[in-house]
Amino acid sequence: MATTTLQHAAMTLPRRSSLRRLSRRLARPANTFAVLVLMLFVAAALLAELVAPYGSNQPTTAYFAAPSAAFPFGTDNLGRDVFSRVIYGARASLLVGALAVGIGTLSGAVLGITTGYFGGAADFLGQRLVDILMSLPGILLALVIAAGLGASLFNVALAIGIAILPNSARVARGSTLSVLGMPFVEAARATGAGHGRILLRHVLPNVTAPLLVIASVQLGFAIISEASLSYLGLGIPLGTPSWGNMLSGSSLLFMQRAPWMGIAPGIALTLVILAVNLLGDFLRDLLDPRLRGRE
Amino acid sequence: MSTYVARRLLLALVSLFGLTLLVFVFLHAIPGDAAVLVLGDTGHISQEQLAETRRRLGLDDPLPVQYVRWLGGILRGDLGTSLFTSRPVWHEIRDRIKVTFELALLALTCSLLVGVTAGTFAAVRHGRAGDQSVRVLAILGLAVPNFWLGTMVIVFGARWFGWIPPVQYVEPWRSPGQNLQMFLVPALVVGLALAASLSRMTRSAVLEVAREDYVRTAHAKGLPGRAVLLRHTLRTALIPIVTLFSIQAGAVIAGTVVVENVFNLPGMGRLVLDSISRKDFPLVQGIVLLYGGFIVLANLTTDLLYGVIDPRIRVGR
Amino acid sequence: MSERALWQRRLGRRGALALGGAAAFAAACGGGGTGPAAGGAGAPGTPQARLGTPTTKQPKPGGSLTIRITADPPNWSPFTASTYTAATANMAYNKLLKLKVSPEIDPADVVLEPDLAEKMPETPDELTFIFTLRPNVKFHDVPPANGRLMTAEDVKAAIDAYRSDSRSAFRADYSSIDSVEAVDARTVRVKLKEPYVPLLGISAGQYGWRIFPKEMLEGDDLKTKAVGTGPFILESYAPSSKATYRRNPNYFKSGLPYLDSLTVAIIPQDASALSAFQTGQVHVITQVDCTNAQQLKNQKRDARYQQTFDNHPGGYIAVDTSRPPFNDARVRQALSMAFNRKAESDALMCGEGRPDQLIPTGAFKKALPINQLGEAAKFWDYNPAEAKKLLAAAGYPEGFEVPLNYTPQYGQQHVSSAERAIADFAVVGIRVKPQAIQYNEWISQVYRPPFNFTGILWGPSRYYTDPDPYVWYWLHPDPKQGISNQSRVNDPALLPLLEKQRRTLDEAERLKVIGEIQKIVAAQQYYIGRNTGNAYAFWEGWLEGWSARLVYDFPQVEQAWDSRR
Repeated sequence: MATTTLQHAAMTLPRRSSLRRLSRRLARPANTFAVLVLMLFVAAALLAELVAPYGSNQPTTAYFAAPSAAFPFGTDNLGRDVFSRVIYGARASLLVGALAVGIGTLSGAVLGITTGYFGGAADFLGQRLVDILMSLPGILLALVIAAGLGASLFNVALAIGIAILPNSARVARGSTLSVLGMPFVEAARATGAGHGRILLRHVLPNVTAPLLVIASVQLGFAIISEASLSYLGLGIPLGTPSWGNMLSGSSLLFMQRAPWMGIAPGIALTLVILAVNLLGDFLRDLLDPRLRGRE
Repeated sequence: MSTYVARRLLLALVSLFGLTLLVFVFLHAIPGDAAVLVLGDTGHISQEQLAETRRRLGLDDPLPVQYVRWLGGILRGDLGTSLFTSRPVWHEIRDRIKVTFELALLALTCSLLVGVTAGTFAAVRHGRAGDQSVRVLAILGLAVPNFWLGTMVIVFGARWFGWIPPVQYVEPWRSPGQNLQMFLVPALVVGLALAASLSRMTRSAVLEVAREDYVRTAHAKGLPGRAVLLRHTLRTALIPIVTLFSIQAGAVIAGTVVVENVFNLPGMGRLVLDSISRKDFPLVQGIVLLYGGFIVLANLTTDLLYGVIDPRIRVGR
Repeated sequence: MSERALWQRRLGRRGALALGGAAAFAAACGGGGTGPAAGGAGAPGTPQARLGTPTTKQPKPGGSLTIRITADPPNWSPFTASTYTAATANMAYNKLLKLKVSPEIDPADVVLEPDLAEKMPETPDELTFIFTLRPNVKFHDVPPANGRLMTAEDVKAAIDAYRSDSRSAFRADYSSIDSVEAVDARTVRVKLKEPYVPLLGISAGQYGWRIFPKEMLEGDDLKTKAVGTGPFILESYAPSSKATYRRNPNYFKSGLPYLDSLTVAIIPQDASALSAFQTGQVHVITQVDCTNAQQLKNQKRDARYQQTFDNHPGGYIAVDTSRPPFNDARVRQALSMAFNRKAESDALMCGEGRPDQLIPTGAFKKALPINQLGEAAKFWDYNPAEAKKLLAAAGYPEGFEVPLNYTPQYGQQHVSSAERAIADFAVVGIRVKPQAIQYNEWISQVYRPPFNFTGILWGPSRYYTDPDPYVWYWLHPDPKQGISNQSRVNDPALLPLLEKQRRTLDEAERLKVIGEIQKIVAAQQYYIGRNTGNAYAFWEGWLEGWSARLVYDFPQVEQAWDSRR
């Protein structure tokens, strides 16, 4: 899950001339696969009402039906169509993942850039906060948020986002520090450029690239965390299907009776995380200047 | 350098203190009453008796008092007593840490062996089929949820082979065979996921180093490929690999809750979950102190390594 | 973690179905997955079972047994009201009276028999019980008792502790005891302040009067040790893993126990536990849901099993009657008629669920059945049209939104039952908003006073064989007594009836009073009964002397034996 700060420190955003290289790399089978899979699932999540033959929580009397024409992935213990629930589940799982990564990366970036840029006491406190957040048991965090703010999709995303924060903060801080060490920043300061200018023109562009890469890695982590939290009873409340609670609930209890209950969401989850990680690789290859011009 | 270490150590201690304070506050922010669970959740307990129990356990005192009392104990080397079992916190931890430690050790060993080998292999075969297949396998290893995989093993193992890992834990010295049988599958499940990310890191680290000028010089000088690999590439590439490994080591200790649950391992993961749910605050604080210490130590190591690798990061901070 | 306490009634005679050891009932549950159970369910009230053919062999000593439980005991103290403590600690203890276990006794029915007492207690008047203890009963030969004789002083100290020690979770249960006296070394006299019918039953249940050496009352030893007179001596306890016991060679019932050693294995995951039973690592497994039971029945054909009623995922619905919308009885009645009990039974209980009341008729067969509740019986019918009419009459023609409070920690089946019901309620316009509440908060503030919830509470199944706890704790208006009164019932007609049923010694009279209570609750729908759930206990085919009980401890262990020897 982690990558070295050092590696990311050297990344920058590509220029126009490398767009051709981008499309060439995108055409590689692994990357095409990844993009297609993600597009498929995002589309499913957005168009669930149109695509899913049944509702998200629609019991029928066909309990534990094996996969058939009527129920492509079979039904579960309440007679609900697993295929439809996997589609609706995409919505919840992807939403949690995106929200968590958004919250974690953004707040991590703010923290990391601020502490890296201003240094001194802010850096000291920021570093301590990062240390503390990294050592905090995720379960405690999830429990406190669930108990204090109520259990909901957003709060699950919040809990995971806070768990992601430290890594983003460290990456952001590392990038900021290496940018600040560059000669052109010294020059900018010497010519009287203010904080805002330096941050916007020099720090931010250089921090964005490594943050994007780590965000892509952490998206996979976030989606799996939702599943783990559901397994421990701390996930999205009942009524909303998510791959997490589909995998952790009755599907595990009834794995012998109806394996398809657990296999379908498990494969969906694996595919999405596969795609996300492949894209993360692609991003990293794209944004690492040292690899440019060699392919 | 030693002042740097000493300073970082001091900072680590500050973090640790902050961590325990934060955890204490969080734990008490969770609604619920430890006293009910101490007496037993299925009893018909009057409010008076709950109040008595809370008083007896010191739960009625204002929060800062409770925290300071706990801290005082820590400074005297006393981790306190569990509210539920009345056993010393250290005994509760000690009983379970050996299990988590063994799981972590086996998983990290697997991760190291498989990950570094696969990553190096992929780097050497860069661009060819070997590289691609390792990459895909690695990502697959990262993508599969470990509790799902684990449950499938247990369910279908019983069904198809009539075998599942033993559900009863025995110490390794008492019955090494049974012990290894029990740990084999969970260690693989955890280790392969770690191996996946380690292999990717190894691959990119080796590739980076292989492009460095001094390596190309070595090639040009006519050194055989393997010598170049071992003598130059791998040694330098080891640094980021070791960094990731130390981060993983910290994370795996804390991240075994779900795997321990699925495979019935009586480790720290279950203890963390149970103690937090019950608001057994001496036990939670003790565990957090331990984990926190471990992770802070791991972070310290990583930062020190960064300081060694890239002096720019160290200057002025 | 359902609330289960065994409260027994004094039954004049065995009141149960005679199952007969040789019958092997057809098991048909869930079929091919396209609908409810097809046949074979037997007459209502007959649990399904495969008890094996009665053996002609004689019990032989030796062998070991592994029993599975789902979680650690929080500690070993007999004062702690945890079913896991009962499951583990009670192996080491005896009570004055115990629960008789035999295949002929239905798992829900209870028969009392003397254990440490030599015979059933004498009752010179309705307020006095005189127990004569058996002679020469010794404690385990481990510290601090070191094999000394048990005396009436130990019994007195224990009973006094259960009713008054600050550590005892059972004080409320014994509030009617006035005094306990050790008349001589073998006689104990218990006097009550007022008649209290459930007393003997509680004393013999899983949370009953377990007798320990009185010196263990000092300090915290009771929390970590289990020293009693029981058939097994605790040998070791590995937290989150297992507890092991060895046979007590000086057990006062000569020849017993037959087994040499015992292990209680702590396996939280049901999937793992089922696999462990299939592969022979675990020999006894309880609380198996009916779907997995069907799998086990087919895969392990030599295993024995018995169905028990009053389990997850059965339960009840409580509602906040202190404020709208559920302060109106019509709304509560509508909720009941909107709930499709048959669909729940088909989906979650393999078609074998039985519609339930506050006093689960699945467990307490002597309660009035639903069809004898008069007009109120219609509220158990699935009638969404009628429900909508009631809602409109009460001022909610468009329905309303309401929270549904539940806890994930009662298990997956419980959660599924709530999830399934969402569709039922939506049909009549009741739009439910699920609220997950973590167990600690649930058990200390929502399920108990101050009942921090609004709207609907999804209640678990709980088992008492005596009706008193069901009505007293759930209906008593005084918050000090009504510790489970989640619906905040405050009905002046109920209070005198509650007190009367506690004191009426004549069974027939008592049942009449209880019937009155049932009728009021049914008419008002203070608590909406769902179904009585069913589950299975499985054990190895070679285990003799075993049958299923609804309690969480295992009184069977002292008489169980391995028929392979």
